Amino acid sequence: MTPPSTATDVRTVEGAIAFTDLSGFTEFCALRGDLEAYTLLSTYEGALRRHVDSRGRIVKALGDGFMLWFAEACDAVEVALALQATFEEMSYEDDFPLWVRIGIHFGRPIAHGDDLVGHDVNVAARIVDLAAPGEVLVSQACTDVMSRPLEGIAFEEVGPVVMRGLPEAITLFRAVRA
Amino acid sequence: MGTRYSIPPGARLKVLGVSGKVRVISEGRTDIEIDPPERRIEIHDDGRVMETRSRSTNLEIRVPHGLNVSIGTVSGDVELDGRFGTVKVSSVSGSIKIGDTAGDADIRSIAGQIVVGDCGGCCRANTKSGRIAIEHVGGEVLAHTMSGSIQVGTAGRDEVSLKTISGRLEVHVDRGRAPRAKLRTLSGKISNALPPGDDFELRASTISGSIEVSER
Repeated sequence: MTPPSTATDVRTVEGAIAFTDLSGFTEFCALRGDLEAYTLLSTYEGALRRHVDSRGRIVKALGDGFMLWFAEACDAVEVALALQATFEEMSYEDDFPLWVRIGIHFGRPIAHGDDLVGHDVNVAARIVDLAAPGEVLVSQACTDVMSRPLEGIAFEEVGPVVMRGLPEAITLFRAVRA
Repeated sequence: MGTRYSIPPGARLKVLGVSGKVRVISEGRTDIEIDPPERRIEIHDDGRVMETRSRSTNLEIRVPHGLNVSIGTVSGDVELDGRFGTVKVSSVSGSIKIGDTAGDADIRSIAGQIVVGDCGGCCRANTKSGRIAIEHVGGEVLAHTMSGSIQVGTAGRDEVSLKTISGRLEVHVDRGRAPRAKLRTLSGKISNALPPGDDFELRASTISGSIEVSER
């Protein structure tokens, strides 16, 4: 990373950072072989691009996961739930284990080219670790900044979460279709 | 002897820890007692939350039966002995053992096993690497683990959804209940001793484990 020449060269962006993680991809590869695994990954990425492209952006691919960014917290939650509905349908119709976990946090990371870095990115990455397959976990920082009511979506409190390396506990919510 | 605190009506206990063990014991009493005594309990949210924090010391807290409890910790084990209301626990790497709950339970760990007794409401249990054992659930069950087995007893009245990547799934259903079962495994065996029915939906999926459904 080339350091900026002065602090004013640092550009931050406010928005929602989401991480997705495809559970069981390694085991699926070992059992079904590379070709089927590649098809699974392509199906996953295709669905992701269809849902994300008009409302946010894919920041980067991370093996069997993706980092996403949305300017609006509402868009992040709505897209995440639409993705989970699609993955659920595909899992049962096509017999694919599209077990995807999603974690969302809102903050102001530093933009480094197309990438994003900083504390809020780390928090979002930790949140996805606590999510179950098919689940969307959202930090309170995200639910606090919804710019409009989300029709048909409810947030259920998961409880306090203390994460390694983070000084303060955060409260997480599970986003669900009401 | 710990320090004792009276409980505002309707308050829940919130415990935030880092590395010490957290043990909460429910018993026939009306107040809360915390040990070590120098550990403080603060009242927040207009009396709705009684909160205590601990970094590395072990905590033992005695509470009345039926109290709602939420706990977040990094690496200490969490143990709840007795009967509680609703329970929410998260841990990064400690094991979690819960007694009985009259209400819902939401238990999650990144790398630790989860053991739950009798849950009267909805039970969610999620861990990345560790087994899950839930004795009996009256309501909905959602349990997921990446590498570990899942054992669940259910009343068979509400949806049961279980997923594991590489472990065995066992579901024990109360006598006389018949599920709409969707059982999937990519490489293991499936054994279902229950007749097909419409009493509740049972979804169990594993990538490389076996599935067994039987009557309790």
